[in-house]
Amino acid sequence: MAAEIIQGINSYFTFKLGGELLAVNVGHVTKILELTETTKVPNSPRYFKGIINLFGEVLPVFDGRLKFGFPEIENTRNTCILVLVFELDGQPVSSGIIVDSVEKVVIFESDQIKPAPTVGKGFNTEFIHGIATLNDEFVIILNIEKIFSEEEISLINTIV
Amino acid sequence: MKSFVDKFREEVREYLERLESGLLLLEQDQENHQVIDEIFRIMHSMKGSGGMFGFDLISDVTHDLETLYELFRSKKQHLDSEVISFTLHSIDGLHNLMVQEPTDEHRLLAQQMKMDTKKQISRLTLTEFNPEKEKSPSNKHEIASETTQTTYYVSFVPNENIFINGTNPLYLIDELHALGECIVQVSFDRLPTLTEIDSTKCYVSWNLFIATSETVDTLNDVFIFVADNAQIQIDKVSSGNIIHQEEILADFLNARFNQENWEPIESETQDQKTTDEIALPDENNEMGVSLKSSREIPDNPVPTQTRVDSIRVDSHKIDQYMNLVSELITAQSRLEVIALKMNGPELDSLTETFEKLGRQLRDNAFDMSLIPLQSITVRFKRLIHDLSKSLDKEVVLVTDGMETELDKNIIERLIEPLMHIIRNSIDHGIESKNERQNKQKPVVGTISIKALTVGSYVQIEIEDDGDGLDKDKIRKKAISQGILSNQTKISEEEIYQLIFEPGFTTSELVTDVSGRGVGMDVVRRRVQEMRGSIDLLTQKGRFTRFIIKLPLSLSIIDGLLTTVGESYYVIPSSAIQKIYTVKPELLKKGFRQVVEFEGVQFPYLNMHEEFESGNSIPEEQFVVVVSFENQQFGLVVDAVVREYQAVIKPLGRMLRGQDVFSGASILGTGQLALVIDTNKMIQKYS
Repeated sequence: MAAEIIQGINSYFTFKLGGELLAVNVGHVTKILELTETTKVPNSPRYFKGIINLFGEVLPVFDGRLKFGFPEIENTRNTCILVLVFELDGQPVSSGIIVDSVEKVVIFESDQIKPAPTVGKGFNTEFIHGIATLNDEFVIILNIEKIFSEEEISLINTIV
Repeated sequence: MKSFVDKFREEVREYLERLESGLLLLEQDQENHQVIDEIFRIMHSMKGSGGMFGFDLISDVTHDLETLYELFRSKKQHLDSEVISFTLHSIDGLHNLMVQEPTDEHRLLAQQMKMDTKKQISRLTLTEFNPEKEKSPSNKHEIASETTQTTYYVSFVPNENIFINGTNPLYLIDELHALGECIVQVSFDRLPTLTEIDSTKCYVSWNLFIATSETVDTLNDVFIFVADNAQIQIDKVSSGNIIHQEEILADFLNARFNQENWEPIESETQDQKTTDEIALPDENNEMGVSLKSSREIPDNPVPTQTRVDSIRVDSHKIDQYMNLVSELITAQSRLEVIALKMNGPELDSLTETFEKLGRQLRDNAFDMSLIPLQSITVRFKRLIHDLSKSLDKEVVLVTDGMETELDKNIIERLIEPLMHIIRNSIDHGIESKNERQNKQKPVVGTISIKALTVGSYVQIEIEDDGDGLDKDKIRKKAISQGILSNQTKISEEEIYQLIFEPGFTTSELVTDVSGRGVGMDVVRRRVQEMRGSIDLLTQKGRFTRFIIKLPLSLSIIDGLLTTVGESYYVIPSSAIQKIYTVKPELLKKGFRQVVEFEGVQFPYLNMHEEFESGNSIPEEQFVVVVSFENQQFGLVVDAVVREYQAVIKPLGRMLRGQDVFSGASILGTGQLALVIDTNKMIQKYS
């Protein structure tokens, strides 16, 4: 899992979650996996699905729907695991996130990305890098590092 | 080039380590000339290779150190503890100078070190040399020979490949010139025809007569670094300066050519003769079998240079090898699953062979990554030496079982915690000399480190015979620091556990040694990170003993594969004592969470209830009895699958917040099983 974060690309990987169109910078995406059985880690928060075996290494997997407060829906054949790499304490860390479907890669120039509105959507704006439009539809660009920041993860511990 | 530089660094580090251990030996036996010689040789090699790879500062500083040690090697001066401390200090400096592109700071440091070395040299050479201490007759000889000269014949035939390690034979001849008057003959006997000459080879040899007041030892020393690479013969021609009496020289050469014995010509003056008579037996002794000169050999010759049939391997390679073996074991368990499905006798036997080989390979890989604790004791000795000096306490280190082996990764991570414990022992534990006298304890304090293997664990005990811990003081301190509330009633043992709490310190004043409150909590955390445990035993006024238990290896363990609901869990075999079957009803009836088997009651944890809210409980469950602290504790699982070699994969940084599971293991089916840290789990859930 010696994945590397590729920086300085203005391509964004879009995916659907709870009906919303979300995106992450393509440099953070390393793999897309079919949905597989996860091994539960007892007494972890509900949005933490468990761990899977990714080519001989342990990969933690989060449920994107629960993580962002969307209603839990049935898995479809489009449901998959997006493997992301991001920096935690200066070191690259991989993690999987379950999404409803993956869409496509689009290019947004930096002036196309508007700052997130401070109200509405019921979204924690801290997680949002910015908002862009694609065919009259909003694309929420996520700030991966913030989402998986230390503070969030330690929740797993406190709930036990 | 970079790899050469890396090699050099590694080499220097090894040199420095050897210097350090040599110096610590000298501390006990300052007259051990074997060690002094070894130190001198190391310094010389360092100087040489330092210059070769552009580490000029190192080579500069060691040059001066070499000059200093030359004084001891040539027995001109006696080594004292100040020099030893100074040299140890210089070793630290040399570590810092291991840079290719030095800054001004480095240069300044080097300058300072050189100055200091020169100070030591002048300190020693200015103090009157005390001849009474000199036991050997060579002293008399030296004094005597200052007035007289002896003529020797030196034959120096370098091996053809002598240039390879950078030796210039001419320098050696130059060096001889510096020792006395010489007549040099160059021999081209071995010179091949022009077409056959290889410019990287040495075909020349030298024969020379030298009249010198130095001993044959000194002459031998000139060739000390090429001794393996050349044939050197030094014969005495006469105990007088006959370098200008060509006839005698010719006679000598004739006798030599005809392989006749040559009796050294005694010089005419009576006075000289007597001195030489004293010198001769000693000389022969040294010439013949230099090691036989019994006077300086200690009772227990300390191996200064261990010759082992071993090769050096980059530790990364061992790590890689370990990883590959882990992968192999994982793959092999997949093979087992497939073989089970296919049900072919041939495949079965092959699978079995693979299993056997895999196990052997694993043990072999284990073995390779194990290194004895011995390898780090030098550091402890050094620490004790330095600290006891600076705190004006006398402390000796007693070790036992240092041949005990541990995974090198564990040993590496163990150094800091152990150093910290020792630091604490010297600073807080062992009392000042006066105090010890008043308490009628031996003035010299003792720190003992014992190691032994217990099952799949290694136990390391560090004990000091100091003042022990004061439970009232700890309690008070803990309350004042807010770690403990005033009302809490806790047992004595629990009080001692408080010293492992973050931020705890009893030290009244902060020294640069310890007492900054960063300490025992870090030690405990480090040990726990390696799935180990640390305990404490103490008696006020008598001793403090830390007991550290560590697993033999970090990456592969023997375990028991169990299931709870649909998930697999591995329980380390080392903790398991017994397994019982149990009806779930029996567990429910329990008044407290206690279950009884064979008349013994013990508390239990029903993992099914804790982990699986939905799934139904099977009709029969298993109680895996594990040891927890000094008790037995039952872990209730749904099923026991089989014994299992678990290759532990870290859960990763995202999950480091929890410590109940020490990792996950990939099963043959590709599924993951969580590896339980039984101690942590029991602590957490009970």
